[in-house]
Amino acid sequence: MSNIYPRARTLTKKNDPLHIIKTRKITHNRAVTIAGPMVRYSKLPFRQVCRHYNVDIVYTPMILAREFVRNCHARMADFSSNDSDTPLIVQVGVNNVTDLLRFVEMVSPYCDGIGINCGCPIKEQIREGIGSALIYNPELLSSMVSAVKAKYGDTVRLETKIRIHDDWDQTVALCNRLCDAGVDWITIHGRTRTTRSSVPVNLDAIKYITEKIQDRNVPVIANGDCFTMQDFQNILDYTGVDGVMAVRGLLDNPALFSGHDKCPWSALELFWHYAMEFGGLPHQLLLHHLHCMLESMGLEKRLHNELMEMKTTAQLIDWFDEKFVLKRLGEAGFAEATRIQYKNTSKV
Amino acid sequence: MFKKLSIVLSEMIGKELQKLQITAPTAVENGASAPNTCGRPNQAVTKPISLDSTTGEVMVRKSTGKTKIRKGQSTEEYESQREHFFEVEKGPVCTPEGWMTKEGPLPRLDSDPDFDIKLKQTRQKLTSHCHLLYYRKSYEECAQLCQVLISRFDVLENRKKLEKEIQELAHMLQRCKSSI
Repeated sequence: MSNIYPRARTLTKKNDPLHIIKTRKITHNRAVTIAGPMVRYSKLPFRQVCRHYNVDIVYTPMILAREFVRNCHARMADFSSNDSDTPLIVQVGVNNVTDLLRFVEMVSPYCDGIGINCGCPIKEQIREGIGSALIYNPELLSSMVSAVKAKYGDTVRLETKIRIHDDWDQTVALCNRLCDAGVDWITIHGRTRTTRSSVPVNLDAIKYITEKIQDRNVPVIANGDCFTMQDFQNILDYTGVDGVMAVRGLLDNPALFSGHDKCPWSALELFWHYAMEFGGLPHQLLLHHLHCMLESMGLEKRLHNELMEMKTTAQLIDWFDEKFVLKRLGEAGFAEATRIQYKNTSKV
Repeated sequence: MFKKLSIVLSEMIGKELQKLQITAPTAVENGASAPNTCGRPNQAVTKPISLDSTTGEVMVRKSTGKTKIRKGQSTEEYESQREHFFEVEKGPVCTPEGWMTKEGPLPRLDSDPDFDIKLKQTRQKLTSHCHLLYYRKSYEECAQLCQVLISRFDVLENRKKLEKEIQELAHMLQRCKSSI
């Protein structure tokens, strides 16, 4: 007798990412807001913090399908979640149909959609035909999308996050193929495979591609250089996309979609809370998140240097309690403050 | 029999291809050939070649330009992984708020052979538990746990490698004691 395994999670109006993308303007009077995938950093504690600040859909970091379907240790290291981790898109790095179908079968009961990473510029992944290599391999990419949609139809949402080509018409052709293959929505990062992140995102390219595929009725999400709500609005107005995905902007300021131009102290307290409650976040990752948030808040340089000297999580807790008023869940005012809560108020 | 034959064939094809040093094709835009890189690492994009679509075996190119076969996964291997994932692992690691303190970590350490203290991941989980108690200012509980863990970490092989982990536990223990 064959075993009956869990099926793809049921999609409702609350967790269906495509429904959310299409209806946010009606229900919330604004376009959809998305926290994109970040290598190492989009782990569960960070995802949960983002959800407090008007983020509609959140991505996991890229998970390599090849490792996930073959190795239980990789699974445990790469993906942790819980019931409140929704709507969630699991991003996958993959270079063949078989691994992808197997990955989808295993992951779809625990998320609300799957995104194929076609934007990662890291050369080790490109050599494997993963990440942004896929935008130069439209046959393979569209066959992967077709295979998933043929098997699962509308029960599994499938997105592709692509970069642009030097020749934008190649990107338009790729998007048309993806639409033919049944992709649910497309996220466009407005840089080419070799463009550095210090170079401004190319909104003209996103606008051009969006206009060219408008008649396909497949939503387009813009990604790149969204650091404030002003950026969010500018990107929407300029490109005509259906929503905006922020990535680096949220790492510095998880509350940016709530209209905070700098990271509020509340986000930092929430991050501490979730990181400790869920456990398992390596010290260096914890430190990096805190470094990014405190930098956004404008922490004075001397204290920032001290922060970066902390070698263990226990030391970090001591340091925060010595320098700041770091409230815990249940204490009055927990996750409410905006400015840095120095212990010595003269520094405020 | 045919399945075995196809596996042997794909291995043979892979080996022959490696001998011939056929490189996986690149996908340079407009179909132009890869430019001369003048000693710089080859930045051209790889198109993996599918060698066996039933197992996901593909050939990719290494940084040296030579090809490498990424082994496939047979249906049996996949089914075994899938069964383990759904039946044993019960899906991905689930960490709702409060999961760590629902039950102490020590009973599991003594009863679950997979929760092996020799593994770094297990020790990290145990230390995470101490971090949570320390963060919550539950100093008495934290001190107790740190004490037990130090004694257990202390007797492990390669203790020197664990020095940093033990030092952190000792730090928390000392701070907890002074706060109780």
